[in-house]
Amino acid sequence: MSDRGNQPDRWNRVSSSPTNPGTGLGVRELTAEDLFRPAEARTVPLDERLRQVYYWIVNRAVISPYYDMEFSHGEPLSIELGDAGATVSLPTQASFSSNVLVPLLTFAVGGKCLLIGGPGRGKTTVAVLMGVLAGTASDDVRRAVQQGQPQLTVSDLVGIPLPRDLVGAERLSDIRIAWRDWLGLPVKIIDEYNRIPTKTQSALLTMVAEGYVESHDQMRRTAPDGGVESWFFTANDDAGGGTFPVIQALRDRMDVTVQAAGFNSRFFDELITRVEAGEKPEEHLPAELAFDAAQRSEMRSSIRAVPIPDAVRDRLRFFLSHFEFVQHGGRRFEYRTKDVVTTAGGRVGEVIEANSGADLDVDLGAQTRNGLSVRALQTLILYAKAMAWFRGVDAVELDDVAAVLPFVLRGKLLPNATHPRFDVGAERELSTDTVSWLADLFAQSCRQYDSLGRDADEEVAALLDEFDRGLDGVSTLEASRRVTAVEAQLRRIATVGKLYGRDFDDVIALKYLHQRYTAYVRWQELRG
Amino acid sequence: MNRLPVQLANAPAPFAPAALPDFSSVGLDTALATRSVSQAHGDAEQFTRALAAGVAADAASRDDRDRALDLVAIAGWRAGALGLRVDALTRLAALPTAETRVAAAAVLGIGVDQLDVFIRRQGTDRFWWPGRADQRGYVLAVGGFRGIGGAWIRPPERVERLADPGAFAFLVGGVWWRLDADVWGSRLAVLAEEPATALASGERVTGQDGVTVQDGVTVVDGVTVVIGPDTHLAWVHVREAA
Repeated sequence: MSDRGNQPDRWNRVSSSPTNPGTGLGVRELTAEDLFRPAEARTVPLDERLRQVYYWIVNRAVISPYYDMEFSHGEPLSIELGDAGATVSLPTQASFSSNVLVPLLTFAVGGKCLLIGGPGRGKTTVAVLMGVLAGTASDDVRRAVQQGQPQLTVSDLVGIPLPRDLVGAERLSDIRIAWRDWLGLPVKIIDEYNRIPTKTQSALLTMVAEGYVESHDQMRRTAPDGGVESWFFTANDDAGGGTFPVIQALRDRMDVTVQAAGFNSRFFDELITRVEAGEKPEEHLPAELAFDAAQRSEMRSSIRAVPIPDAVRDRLRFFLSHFEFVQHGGRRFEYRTKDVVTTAGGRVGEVIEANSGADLDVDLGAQTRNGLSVRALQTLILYAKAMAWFRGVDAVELDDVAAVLPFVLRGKLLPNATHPRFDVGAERELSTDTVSWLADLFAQSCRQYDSLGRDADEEVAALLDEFDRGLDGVSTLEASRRVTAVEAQLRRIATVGKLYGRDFDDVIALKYLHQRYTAYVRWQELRG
Repeated sequence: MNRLPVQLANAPAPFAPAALPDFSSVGLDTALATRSVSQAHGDAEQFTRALAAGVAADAASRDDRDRALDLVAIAGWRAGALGLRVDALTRLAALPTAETRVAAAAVLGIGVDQLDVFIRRQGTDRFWWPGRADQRGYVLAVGGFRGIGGAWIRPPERVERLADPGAFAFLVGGVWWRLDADVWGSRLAVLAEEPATALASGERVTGQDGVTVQDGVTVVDGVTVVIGPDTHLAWVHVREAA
């Protein structure tokens, strides 16, 4: 890091008052002696420090006056602008810039973040700041950035076998590898990953997915035991462009995708000041904002411990249920899924269209051409917890899920371009604005949840809860009664003319219960 | 007309610009104290100026740790760090010499002849200072329109008194806010939910501090929080007893 003694004060200002207004309730009594206790003695909680980092970045380091991750109690004030349906909303709660907060949450959970956007929009700068935040010197972080380019080989990326060993070794295991230093850094940055050749991308995939790298039968772990590593990738295209197409497995490993923001001309003076001073923000990160390995580990544990209340789980579960099912995707009921269509080389959009009479407005699943992977769901849970932890709330709220969901599902839940949603009037905007579409999809799902009265009417959930309590002591008669109840639920669903994703999941779950109960009844009968 | 939050005891500015006093000879780091005052929601610049005014009036405080701490506590409170209120008032009531009384008055920005009445009045009225009558009883304004640097995007709809002294709750655009305030400072913070101790609007209560609540306007020993549908500011006003 640079000489902090000569550091201009404008870089070194860290929010000294609590960054979360909801957390500092009341007035804590102080004495004059308290004022002379060093800040270290008054330990700043890790979530507070992460908020300080966020505000330092948006106020000092990256010129980003965008507040697109909005939080409001009640309805925010909305103002319509122009004659083309544009509105700006003024949230009532602290709201955040996604292009800073999403990478920061990635740093906190030890995830993988893809930063996309045109050249010169600060993608690499944000990523480098995350590296410095982990305690690595800014020069070292910059040096460790792996520049994607068409000639990048696996050896360029991971290191080379020692030439002497290559000559003298009798076995592959005798060859030692001179591993590249960047592999051991807690924050790893791959610039322009869509310019990397396919073979090198595969080596990268092993590192990202498995946490190790292999060369000449030698293995090196990239993440220290119990440690937290985070990855930042940049690309100027998220639609499959670039020198080499990104292999799907690697693209799928991106936990979150966030767009870099453009420059706001009202902040031009600040830009001139920086040019004149020749300053780089990452050289000025206040030392007290960095996280050491133990703190990063503790931070991730704290995030994982944030509870998700039942009310939030129910709405998330309902949202997830929309997307896997597609009518006519297969003959057997279990195979009526988008994945069956896709893996057979079919087009999901055409299958959806073939489902004549379907109400495409109601069927949210018709808006996508795939379902959600388990990995995407796990990521969504983790980032929702991180969002809640960052905001200083005790449990995940629906707003936390809504805030991170578009960034987690971008590139994973793919829009069905043939759906009218992307082809009619003002809705056409959603075909290019994936984040708004995903946010709206979740909002639509929540509205549907309310209109269906799912809070009060959850008979399938009740049956599953009953089964989860165990079968110990359940009589044959009781088990048979439950079998009848399961069949009754299936018949109830059968009376609905049109099937939706939520019904598909219910039917599969009911069949599962039916199997378990009938097997239990058979076993009881065999026992006599 | 005021459109931004203001603490009227600080208008006009009560202290001249000054350098931060050095108490290193008694082992006190005043730069650290300044940061702490700031973290306690006080104004660092006001703290510096108030402390400097006190040291100018009592140079011996540089070499006497107890006297220095007296001035620091009073200056921190004067700068708006509400948490120092009890410590500062305790120290004000126990000032040992005439010099220290002069210095304390200088830190508060009042005449030394007003010091005793200030300490006495503060015992029952946290919003009192000698200049209040000149402000027709108004003490401070909080909130303000966010678009011009305030806190709120709508005028406050309700105000309720909370159990803690000097604490009030505001309902603004469906969100509850908490105000903690006294004569020298105020702190406004968002509440996660409706405060449990808030009294229902229109309920009449007489209890601790002689509280009376009337039609959504809270009165505490003559203390009224004035809100209106056409202003984003909430004013704390104290009606003097006849």
